[in-house]
Amino acid sequence: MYKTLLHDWHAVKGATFTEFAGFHMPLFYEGISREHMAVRENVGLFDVSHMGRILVQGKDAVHMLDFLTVNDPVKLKNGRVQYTCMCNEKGGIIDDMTLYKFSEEFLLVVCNAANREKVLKHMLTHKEGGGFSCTVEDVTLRSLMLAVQGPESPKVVEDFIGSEAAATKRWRISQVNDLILSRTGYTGEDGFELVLLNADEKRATKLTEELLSSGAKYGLQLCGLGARDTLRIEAGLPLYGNELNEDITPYEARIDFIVKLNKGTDFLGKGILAEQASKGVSRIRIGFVAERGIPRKGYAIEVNGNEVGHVTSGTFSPLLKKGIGMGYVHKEYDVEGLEIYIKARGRKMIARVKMWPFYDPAKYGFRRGRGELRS
Amino acid sequence: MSYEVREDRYYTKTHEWLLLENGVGVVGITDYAQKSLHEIVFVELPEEGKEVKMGERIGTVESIKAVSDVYSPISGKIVEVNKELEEKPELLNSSPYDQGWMVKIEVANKEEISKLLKPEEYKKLLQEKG
Repeated sequence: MYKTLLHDWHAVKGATFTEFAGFHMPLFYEGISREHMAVRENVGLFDVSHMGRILVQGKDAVHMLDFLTVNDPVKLKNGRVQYTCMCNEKGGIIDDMTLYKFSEEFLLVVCNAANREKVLKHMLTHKEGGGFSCTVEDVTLRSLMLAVQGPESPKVVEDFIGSEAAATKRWRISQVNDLILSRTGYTGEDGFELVLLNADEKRATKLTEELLSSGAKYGLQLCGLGARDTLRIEAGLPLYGNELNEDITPYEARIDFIVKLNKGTDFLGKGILAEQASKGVSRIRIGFVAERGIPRKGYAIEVNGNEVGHVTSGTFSPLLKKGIGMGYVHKEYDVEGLEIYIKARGRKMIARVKMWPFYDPAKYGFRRGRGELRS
Repeated sequence: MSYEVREDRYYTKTHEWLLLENGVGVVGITDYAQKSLHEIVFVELPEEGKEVKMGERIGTVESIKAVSDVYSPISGKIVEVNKELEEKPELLNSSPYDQGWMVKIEVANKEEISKLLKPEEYKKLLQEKG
């Protein structure tokens, strides 16, 4: 099994471990609810070094990624991050990822841990096939990636590295010596991801320990993957292997805001995606809140006694104190407030269709207090 | 980790306990069970009046990550369920042997009790688990 550079440090910190995508990772330290609420109300620190980190460098770096991804990395300014995905010829999602663009010739792809080898192989195949002049290098196991998430995260990061934190607006990157700072995350909250491309256990441990100490005055809570999962479900963020796979397109997954059909170049999956953009899709991702009980992955969704889909992610929301989930159904059931049934182990629970985020966006999440509508 | 095992009751291999009180069996889950599940956030209980058999599923206990069935340690009629758990499932963590009791069963066949684990036997089972 893979270990991150912080593995032994997590053990010292009293983590309860779990296996995730081949990595031995902290599930929680003190408890999922407590860690979850720390991120919604204050700030939390996660080791996310299991995420795949692949450097793409060279003359054609951005052009190869332009062909392989649905968003527009050519148009993306240097010093910014882009959420995107790679699709196959059928428009199905190979993986979703973020691209860090340092320059046209130097980009970092951050992909799902479970898909790292697949993404690497996909890039290498098309690099050869398309004759792109660039290098593709997996640096996952020798680098560190931390996430500092929650409304107090700007203060924690500013105290730790200085004024670059405040200057790094959402979806931007900055660099302080060899530490990369990105204003991104996977919790629905404001937050940062910190990457050290070249680290060893000693340096990774020292930096993380110093960050944790420095953030203590803001209540910086060490968090495991348990809270990472409940936080992303509350925010309605899809997870590869649950909401996303090679048979699901960005339109069905409702992440079509990343598909740039009008970008200058052709890209993998464009044909089907263009068709779905004009004709619409019949299957669509929905969210729901259970009246009582906890939806779980694999449970059937029923409407009027007919099975109409399955739950792809479900959990107990530590914030709402209710069961919440996501799944795929025919678009005719995508009706806010529609009563649906979730069939669980010989019983049924009532749930209502609800568009994410499941929390009140005026009170929680990165748009809190801004009164903006969701995009 | 150490687990409390009370001397006054019987146990099952599936980590339920049974305490006899004047012919009525009080049933719950053990300290080991609650510690293995961690934060319990949802409890499903059976209906009062239901007849159950030894080993039959009588409820579900869920943490954020896990779902665990609860099996009846004895046959009989369910005469009372602990409704407080529906509002306060955390009682199963804080007080598994007292406030966290789940159901009371009118014991149909006392001979079944001999099939249950005595405290010493249950302690041994936990030791084997390490």
